[in-house]
Amino acid sequence: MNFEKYTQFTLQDFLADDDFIQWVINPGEEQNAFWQSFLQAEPQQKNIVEKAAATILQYRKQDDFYNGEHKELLWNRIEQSIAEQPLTTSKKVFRLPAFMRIAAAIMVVAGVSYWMISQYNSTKQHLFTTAFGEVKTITLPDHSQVTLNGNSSLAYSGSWNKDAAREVWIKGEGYFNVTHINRDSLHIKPNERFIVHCGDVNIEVLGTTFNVKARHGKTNVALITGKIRIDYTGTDTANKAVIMRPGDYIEYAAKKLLVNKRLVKPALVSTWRSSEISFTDATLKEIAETLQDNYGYSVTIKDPALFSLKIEGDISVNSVSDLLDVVATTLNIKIEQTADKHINITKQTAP
Amino acid sequence: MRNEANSALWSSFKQGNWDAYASLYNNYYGPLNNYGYKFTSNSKLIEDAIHDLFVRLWITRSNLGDPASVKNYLYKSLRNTLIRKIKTEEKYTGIDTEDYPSGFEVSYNSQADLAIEEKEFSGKVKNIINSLPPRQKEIIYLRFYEGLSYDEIADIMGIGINSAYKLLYKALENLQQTLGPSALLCLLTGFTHF
Repeated sequence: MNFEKYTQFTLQDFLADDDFIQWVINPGEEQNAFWQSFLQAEPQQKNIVEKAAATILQYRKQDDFYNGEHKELLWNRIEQSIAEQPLTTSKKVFRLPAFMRIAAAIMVVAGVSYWMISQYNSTKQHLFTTAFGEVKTITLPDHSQVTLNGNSSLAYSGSWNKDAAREVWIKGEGYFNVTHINRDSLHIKPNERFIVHCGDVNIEVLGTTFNVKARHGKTNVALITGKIRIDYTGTDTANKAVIMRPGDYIEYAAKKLLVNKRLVKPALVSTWRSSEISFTDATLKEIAETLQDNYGYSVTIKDPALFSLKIEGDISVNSVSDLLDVVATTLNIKIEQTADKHINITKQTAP
Repeated sequence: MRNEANSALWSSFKQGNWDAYASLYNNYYGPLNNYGYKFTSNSKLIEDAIHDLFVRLWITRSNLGDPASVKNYLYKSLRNTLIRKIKTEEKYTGIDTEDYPSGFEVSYNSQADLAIEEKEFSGKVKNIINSLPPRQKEIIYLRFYEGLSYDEIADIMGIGINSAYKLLYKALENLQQTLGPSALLCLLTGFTHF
C-alpha cells in the first residue's frame, strides 16, 4: 500500500476501498501503523478518513439475529429429513465424447487385469479381536470404521469389490460408522449395500452410524444417524423386517423382537468408545454382565433379590474401581474383591 | 471465521464425515440466520431454507466441488433458496415484486442509549441506508458488514462484477451527498483504531 493513492481520495473513494474497509472492520497492527503514518503525512485527509471509518462502524452497529433457541430443533429436523430421504436423483443419459469412449475402453481392459490380480487377494479372511477392557478401531476397505468394545470380534472376507455387498460378522459390541456410497436408492448397486451379521439378525445399511451389541443370546441395536433395516434370519415369518430411524433402539432375543423404543439420548450408547463406562437406568444384573463381558471379571451374586436393584439415571465413570464405588454407595450393598478380577456382591450387613 | 478450518471440514464432510457436517452446521447456523433475516422477518421461512440447504448438501455431497470460501458458497445457496421461498409466499399474499423479494432491511432497535451527537450521526446513516433500493442495501451489507470483495459479492448475488461496482457506487453517492465534505462534524463513534 502506498500513500499516493489515498491523497486525493474522497469519502466515497474510501468507502469503496477494500484495504480501507478491511482495516476498519478487522484492524491489525500493520494496518494501524500504515494509516497512522498516512494521516501524519497527509493531515488534510484526517477528517474524511475518520468520517468514512465512523460511517462503516455506525452501519455495523445493527441488530443481529442468530435465532439460537432454534438451533438444536432445526438440527433434529435436518437429521430426520436425511434419514427419511429416498435419495432419488434423476437418471441422466449422456454420451461420452469419442476420445473418452476410447479411454473408457482402455480402462475396462486395465480394470479386468486388475480384477484378475485382485482375485488372488480377495478370498483372504480378516479377523480382529479385542481383549477384555480393550477398545480398538478398525478401518474397513471402504473406509468405514468400526470401534470394537472389549472381548469382541469382527470378521470380513477379501478386499471387497464392486460386485458384492460389503459384509461383516460381529460378536460382542461394536460402533459402526459406515461410509455412504449409494446415490440413487432406486438403483442400489451390490457394493453399496453394507450388511452386519450378528446373532440371529442381519443389519442392512447404506451409510449410517449405529451401535450393535450381541451378547448372552441377545442382540441390541441403537441407531445414531441415518436409516437401517433389520432382517431376521430365521424362518419364522411372523418376524418382519424393522426399519429404524435415528434414536431408535431395538432388542432381539430368542428369535423375537423384545424391545422397540426411542432413546432419549442415543449418543450415550456408545460412550464406551472414549473408554468411559456408562449406564442409563441400569440394574445390578446389567452392570455385572458388563463387568464380565467387557472387562473379564467374574461376579458372584448369591442373593437373587439383588439382581433387580436399579440405579436410576445416568452413570458415567472412567474405571472399574470408580464404578464399583458408585454402585456400592448408591445401592447400599457390599462389594468385595476376593481375588484378582473376582467380585463378590452381598447385602450390606448391619454395622 | 477461520477459512482453512472450514475448508478442511468441507472436504471431510464431502467424504461422508457426519461430525464435519454437524460442525459446518454449528459454525454457519447463526450467520446464515442473520443474513436471511435481512430478506424477511419470517424466521420460520429462514429455518426452512437452512433446512433445505443442509439436507441438499448432505444428499449431493459426493457431487459437490471445493468452493474458494465455504461461507460464500453457503450464503449464495441460502440466498437463492430463500428468495425462491419468499417469492412463492408473496405470490400467495398478492404482493408481486419483479425479481427481488420485498426488501432487504437492516434494523437498529438496540440503539436507544446513544449520546445525542452520536444519535444525530447514526440517524443520518440509517436514513440514507433505508432510502436505498433493496439491492443497494444488500451490497452495502455484504461490503461493510461481511467485509466481502467485489467479486465475492458478484458471485453471491449472481450479478456481473461491473454491476456490483455500479450498485455500490450508486449507494455510496447517496452517502457522499448526505455526509459530504463539510456537512457534518466528524464524530468518532467508537472509532478507536489509533
